Amino acid sequence: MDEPRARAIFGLLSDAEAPPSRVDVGLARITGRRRLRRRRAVLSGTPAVAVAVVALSASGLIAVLPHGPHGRPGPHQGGHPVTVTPPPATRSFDPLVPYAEFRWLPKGVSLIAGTTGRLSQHLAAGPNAHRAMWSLDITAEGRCNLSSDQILRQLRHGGHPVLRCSTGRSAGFQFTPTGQAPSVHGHLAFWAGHELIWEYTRDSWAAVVGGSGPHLDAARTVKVAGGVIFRAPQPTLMFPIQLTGLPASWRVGSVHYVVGAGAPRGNQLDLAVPGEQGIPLPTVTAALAGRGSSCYFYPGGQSQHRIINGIPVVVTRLSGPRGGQDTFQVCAAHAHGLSLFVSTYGNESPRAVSIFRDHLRILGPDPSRWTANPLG
Amino acid sequence: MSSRDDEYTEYISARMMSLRRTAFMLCQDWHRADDLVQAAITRLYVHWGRARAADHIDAYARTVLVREFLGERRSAWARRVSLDAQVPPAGTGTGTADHDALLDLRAALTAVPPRQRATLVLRFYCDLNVEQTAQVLGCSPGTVKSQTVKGLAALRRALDPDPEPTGERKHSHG
Repeated sequence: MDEPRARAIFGLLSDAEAPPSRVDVGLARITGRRRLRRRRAVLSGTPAVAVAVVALSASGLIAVLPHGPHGRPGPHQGGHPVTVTPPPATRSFDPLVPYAEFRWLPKGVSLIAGTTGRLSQHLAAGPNAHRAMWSLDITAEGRCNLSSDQILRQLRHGGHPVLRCSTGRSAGFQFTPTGQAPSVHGHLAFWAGHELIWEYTRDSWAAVVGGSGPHLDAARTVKVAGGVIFRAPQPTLMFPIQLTGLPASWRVGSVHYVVGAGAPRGNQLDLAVPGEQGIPLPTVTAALAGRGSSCYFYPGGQSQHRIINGIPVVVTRLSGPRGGQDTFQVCAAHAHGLSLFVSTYGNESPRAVSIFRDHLRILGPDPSRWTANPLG
Repeated sequence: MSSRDDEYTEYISARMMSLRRTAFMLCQDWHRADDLVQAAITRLYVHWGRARAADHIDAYARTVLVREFLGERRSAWARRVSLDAQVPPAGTGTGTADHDALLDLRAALTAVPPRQRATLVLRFYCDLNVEQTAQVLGCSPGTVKSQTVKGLAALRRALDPDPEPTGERKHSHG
């Protein structure tokens, strides 16, 4: 192998047509901004707080200075908070029911997707399906280490509170409140960088972030947060597939759903065994098949083409890293109008092929045939 | 949108294809390539001030991408990806000879250890010289040279696992 041949190989490979991009620049901005704020808060502490306070004070949105010239915050006041009856605290959400809803979003922005877990839920809104600009995260009761009163007390005494929320298998959330924000629905609220956080009911937190530009962000963030309602009469999540005959202990752990023209469509189900959060269980993804739907065929004998129940599929077994457990996948690019993907791990049974063959009911792309009960 | 965000978005949009292709060359998997780019551009946003001040933003972005690849980090973002975006490398399943040859090439490249593969991609796909490659990888030029030699050897072995025993033939023919 010489250098010219290596260049020729890369030349050949680079001629391959690239599939449509899944990269989301808007998401990178939101995630990056969040990391940046945490870095600044951790690395520079008070100066970062001061910068945030100056920026937000200029917009008239900071009610209390955590480290103002007099060293003490002022009284609790806000913009024009609307007091509404808080929802009762719940220690576990129903993953089949979105718990919160945006009732106000900037013009041209609408809900595009959400994730419903038992301990936390997430909403994403944007101008189109591929661009998330605003997000809402909420936790169930008892997932975070501080109450809003404790945060306020620490801020008033010049402290640097850190709100840490654990949400099970995922990494959870961490916020560094830097000052008080206008109250949301009559509840104390705080700025954690550009993020607006509030204890929406006892021991349960919500965070809204989005937009861009510090002044615009703050004003709109307050308005978006004020428009969030909980336990709203949500449209039911509908599923184009149903899993039947699975072990009785398996439950829906979380759902990722997308919002199109009709009802929100659950397109990814993560199953779970209650109380055994460390055990990864199957993930089943069901999307509407389109021209771009296809399956990745891993080289080196890891993937095989097969026909299961008359449907062409790609079956893949991926070795776990460093002796870890293997992953089993079944992918069907076009299965009665759907693109399907089943993934299982390790020694759990039934494995992906068995789930696809014996436990999966494909309901098709027609919403009138979908079900609200994905585990039949 | 702030000017910082404007600049960032404009830059990333302009370089998206190049970043994705480089990521694909590194991992030979479009799924993972997009994950890598997503993670890299998020990191780039965090360090945008430094990137903007760099002599060569492209080199900075490439460095972030390659180090993301070598760090084997996978973003949580990947967990939320829908199947709508599950697309194969172009040509999968066509069964043509060209397609098979391409698959062989890709399989051979994935057989090269990641750091050596990154060295080959930077040298022969991105067309960087030894010093530039060393900067991206954070190592000495000597290491780049040795990694290049080893990488080429690994690629040759992967492409031609049972080479003719040239030494013996020479010997037998005397």
